[in-house]
Amino acid sequence: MVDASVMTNNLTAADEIADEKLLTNSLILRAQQGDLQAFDQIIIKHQRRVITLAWRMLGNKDDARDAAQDVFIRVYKNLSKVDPDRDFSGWIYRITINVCRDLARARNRHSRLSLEEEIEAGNMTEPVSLDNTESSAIYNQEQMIIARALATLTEKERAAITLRDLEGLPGDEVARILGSSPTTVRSQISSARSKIKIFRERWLKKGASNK
Amino acid sequence: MNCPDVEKLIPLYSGDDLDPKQTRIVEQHLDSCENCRNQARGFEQSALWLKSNASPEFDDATFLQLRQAVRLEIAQIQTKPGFGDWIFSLWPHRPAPALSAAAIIILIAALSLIIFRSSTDKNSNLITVVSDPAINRQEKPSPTDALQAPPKAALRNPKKTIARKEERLAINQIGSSAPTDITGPKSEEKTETTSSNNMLRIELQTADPNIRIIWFTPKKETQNDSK
Repeated sequence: MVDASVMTNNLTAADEIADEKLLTNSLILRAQQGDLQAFDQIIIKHQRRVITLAWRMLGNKDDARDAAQDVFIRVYKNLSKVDPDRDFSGWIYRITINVCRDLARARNRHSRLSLEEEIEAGNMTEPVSLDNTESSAIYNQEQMIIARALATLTEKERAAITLRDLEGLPGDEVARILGSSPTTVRSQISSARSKIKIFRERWLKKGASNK
Repeated sequence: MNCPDVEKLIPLYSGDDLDPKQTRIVEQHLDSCENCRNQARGFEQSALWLKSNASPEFDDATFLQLRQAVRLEIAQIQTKPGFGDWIFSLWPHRPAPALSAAAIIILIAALSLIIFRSSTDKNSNLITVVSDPAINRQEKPSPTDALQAPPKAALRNPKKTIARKEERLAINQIGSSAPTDITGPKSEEKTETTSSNNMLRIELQTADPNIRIIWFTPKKETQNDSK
């Protein structure tokens, strides 16, 4: 009885995935034929994922929005080359990573500064306690710290940890998107996790010493 | 496996990126090592911290703006005229003049190509003159020549070797018939003929004052006489 219900649930999930894929394929085909409504639907389906990934790569909302715009324009321009049977989401991820790299290089941002250098430069305030600040302000503060923590990584490490730990993609898929070998990506992920841990520990230690 | 080995694997272990065999080895070590266990806990907390805060909120207005901006840019792409459209836009409703202009452009390009090719052919003729075998026949290779021009260089650039041989021949001729124009006036390009017994000597002064081309060829009369 239990096995039957599990099987039913699995079938439903598989059906949902299949339906989703059919819908995506249909949208791609319509957009390839010049249907802008279909292309709009494609944007709606992917906009949150693209802009969030761009924020994680670039560290601020304005750049993330610009990057997302560039991504969808590139998608539109290359739509005729898309094979609907292939991994469309992976392709969009790849475009997003490339656009973010281009944008970061063009704007020459994300110079990897140490925590102390960041504070000295006035880019970061020191840790705050829950007692004297509203929760939204703390959330924003935490986000800023995360952005700075990600900015201490190299471009490749940032892309790898973002796709693996924050987007939750399997290691092999991350390697495929980044055009690297799985071994290289594992090494980048390992290094990125170590750096993030060190950054957080130093940040917390600094906050504790200031109390 | 000792602590340093396990510490290298902990970052991957914390994200479930190890194969089952490695995972089992790390877990066995963690059961017995408190320090490494703390390390692993630190990585887990760090990952949670990252995940819980790395998803910024974007409001609907941001997405609306994004879609509008994309639509606007697509509209610009669609209305942007191509080269053909641009040509025809110069003479709206009159394609004949546009086609005539295109034909003229193609004709000019073809003529330029023909002129360029003919000038290239002239240059290749000049090279042929320099490598005239009549001059080569005049030269008697000496042991010093062999020392001055190593065989490797000759293999690398035969034209250069011919030029060097001619240069030496010219110097020999100067030594014998003593023409004095080797340090003569430095004009942009100068053609000079000097007659010796059976040979015609032509000198060309290039733009570079250090480079002078000297060419020896049998006189026509001599050739006719010999015939």
